[in-house]
Amino acid sequence: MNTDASTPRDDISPELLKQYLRGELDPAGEHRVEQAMDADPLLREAAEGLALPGALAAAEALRAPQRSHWPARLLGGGIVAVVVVLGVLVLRMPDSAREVVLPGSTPVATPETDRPVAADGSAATLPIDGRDSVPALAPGVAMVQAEAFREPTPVQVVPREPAPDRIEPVPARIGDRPVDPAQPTSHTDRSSRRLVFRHGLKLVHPSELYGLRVEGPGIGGQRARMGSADPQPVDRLATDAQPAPIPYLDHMDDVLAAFAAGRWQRAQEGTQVVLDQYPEDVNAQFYNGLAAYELGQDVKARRWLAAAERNTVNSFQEEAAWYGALVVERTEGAEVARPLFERIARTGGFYAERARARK
Amino acid sequence: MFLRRRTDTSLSDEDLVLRIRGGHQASLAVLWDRYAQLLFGVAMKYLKDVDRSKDAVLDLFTVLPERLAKQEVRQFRSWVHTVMRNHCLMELRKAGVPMDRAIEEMPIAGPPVQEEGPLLEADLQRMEAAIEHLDPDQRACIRLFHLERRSYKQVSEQLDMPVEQVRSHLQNGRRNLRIALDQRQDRHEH
Repeated sequence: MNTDASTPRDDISPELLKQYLRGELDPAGEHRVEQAMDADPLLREAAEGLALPGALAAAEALRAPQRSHWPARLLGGGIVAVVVVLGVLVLRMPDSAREVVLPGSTPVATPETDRPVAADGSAATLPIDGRDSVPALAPGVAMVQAEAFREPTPVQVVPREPAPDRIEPVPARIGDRPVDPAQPTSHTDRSSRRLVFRHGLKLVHPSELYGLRVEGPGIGGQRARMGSADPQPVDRLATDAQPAPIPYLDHMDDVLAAFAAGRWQRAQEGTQVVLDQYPEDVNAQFYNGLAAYELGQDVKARRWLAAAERNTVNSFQEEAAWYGALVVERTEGAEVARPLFERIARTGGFYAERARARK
Repeated sequence: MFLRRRTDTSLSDEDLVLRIRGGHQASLAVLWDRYAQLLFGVAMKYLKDVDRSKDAVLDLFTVLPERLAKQEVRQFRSWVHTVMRNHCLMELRKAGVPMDRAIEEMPIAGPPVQEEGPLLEADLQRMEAAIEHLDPDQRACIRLFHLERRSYKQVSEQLDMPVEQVRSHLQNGRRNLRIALDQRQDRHEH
């Protein structure tokens, strides 16, 4: 099986996925699709959505749109678009270059520009995600554009039209912070990342990790356990088998409370709950690793501190490197750890001075 | 006379992206065939509405040439998945959907960040010792699904547990096997 992410997955085609969802495959075929879904988040989410009532039939219509199947309003909009565009072209074309355009032909983006033009010839921008601005299209033109994805039936070559001027977009706002389209948010920009502090300990705000506005994902507590000697009557880290998801920050607040109190085992259990569901969560990686360090679980500490250090969200990079070096020093000795401390010292960061003292 | 050009449907996504950047719009049709229905499914998962999901797919493909021209996309498949997911989350936000609902829609397997690669069947077949140390339910699910190549439905029927629980045991079992392999690797290195 070809595992190159950029090559076509001709072994699990959309058609095969639909057969799976309709229950038309034998167990071996089902296994093949399920195995692919395990490895492919797009396939997995697509299957979830297509399994909803009416979705498969709608997907079939989406795939092979026939002109007669489009809603009347789109057809009407398409006809208007054809008439307007043809009129513009005829008016602007010099007599010598004028070509006859057959009735019923659809306007398509020219090969040179590939730029769709709205039915009224103008182009107003509509921010999509705050970083890009794209021309807003009338529904009819959207339909035409979709059809133009396919090799069109014979059409006349139309003269090139200049691209419409773009209007600068109004930046979208996320929460209280305006998003500048010229400055795409980057998870690698440590200095601009939003942080919160709970119990004196740092957390990367979940909006930075998950692109959600406020609170981040809900955390289920299926794996949490309550210590038998725990005196606290209410403890969100210890839950029943199937609790409702709780807000991310509330859960991590409990984790850091346990951490700040030196209750490493409880903190570790709480971060493990997060990692079970979101294995790339940098907050959980770092504090799980740190709790393991405190508990003397060196293998686990190295694994999670290394993960936090190399996470694309690099907010814990320095701290993870420091504690990772301490683990190496403890398990393999000062000689082996020396290059790690030297690297930390060279970075000139918060731990540089301490690293120099340990070299 | 318009000359019809046939686009090679065996081209990789990356090659198609390069062609689209070069103005080869017919390559967009190939990507449409590959991804439109899948992305529609993703949109349905979040938006739960056929018309809005159709619009989402059309909107995405309408702006796709321009976005590809502006962004370097190394892995189109994961990129376009992320774009669609973000679009859906924004739609939910605009519609005033309570954040908890959007949060609950987040996939159990994790947010759209760097993910670990699949655990290959061949690796599992070399892991008998590690599998023996798994939780009994996880061990049973791993054996039936990966080693005996049963389907979720078959595993579910044989173990008398819901399919969702089978998937959860498989996910946790694979994670624990990875940890066990790492520990073995650490011990070997030391």
